[in-house]
Amino acid sequence: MTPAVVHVLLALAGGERHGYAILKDVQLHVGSQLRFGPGTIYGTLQRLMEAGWVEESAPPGADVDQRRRYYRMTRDGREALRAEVDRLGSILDAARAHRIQPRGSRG
Amino acid sequence: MVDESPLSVEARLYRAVLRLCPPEFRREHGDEMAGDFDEARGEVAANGATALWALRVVMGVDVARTIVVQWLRTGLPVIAVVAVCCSLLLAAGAASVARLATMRIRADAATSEIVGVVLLAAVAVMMIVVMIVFNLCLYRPRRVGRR
Repeated sequence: MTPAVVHVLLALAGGERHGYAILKDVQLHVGSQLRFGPGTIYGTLQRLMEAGWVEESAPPGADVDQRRRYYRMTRDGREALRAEVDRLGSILDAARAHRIQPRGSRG
Repeated sequence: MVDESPLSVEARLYRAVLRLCPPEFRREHGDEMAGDFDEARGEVAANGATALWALRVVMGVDVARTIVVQWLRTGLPVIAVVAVCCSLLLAAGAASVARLATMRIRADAATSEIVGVVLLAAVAVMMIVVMIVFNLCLYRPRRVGRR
């Protein structure tokens, strides 16, 4: 899974969102480390829809922007994300066992 | 269409650049992308010129990468390269045969020139034919179900 795929799936883990909300969510998560634009987000969404991990959904309510297209994660997508998070978790555990601390966690 | 309000000049320029993307991707996401760009530009504009320029750079790099990635995903560049290579190989073979044939019949300069022109035309025709054949065999447009 590429970082863009992980971040888009994480953004959709909180419920259905439109493209710009996903973009803002991803930028909030990654900060200045990675810079994503609409091309990366929609390209990733396209790939995830082809894989069956994301699907288009109806707008979540009447008070939302009806002109936008909304996306949500499928069950397969959630399982794939969970597997990836487990994998990343074990990498993090291995790194900690070798006393490689993530930046910002040092006292 | 994401937004019915008129787009800014920059967003219209961004949408014009998106015309370089494969048509399928542009039709599916082009309007949304231009709308998102406009919204991001509007939000960042309040933070000053530096932030606006940083956004322009990020968006420029992103759209350039998107154009390359989306064309590669269609498979068409690979088909084009394979078709050109196949055509050049066939042309090289045909040229060898033609060279042997013209040597045997002891062709004069004018005849050799005609053979050269015929070979060039044959290469062009072969490229077109191989491109069409590979397209028909390998290119499958992506289908994504929409609700």
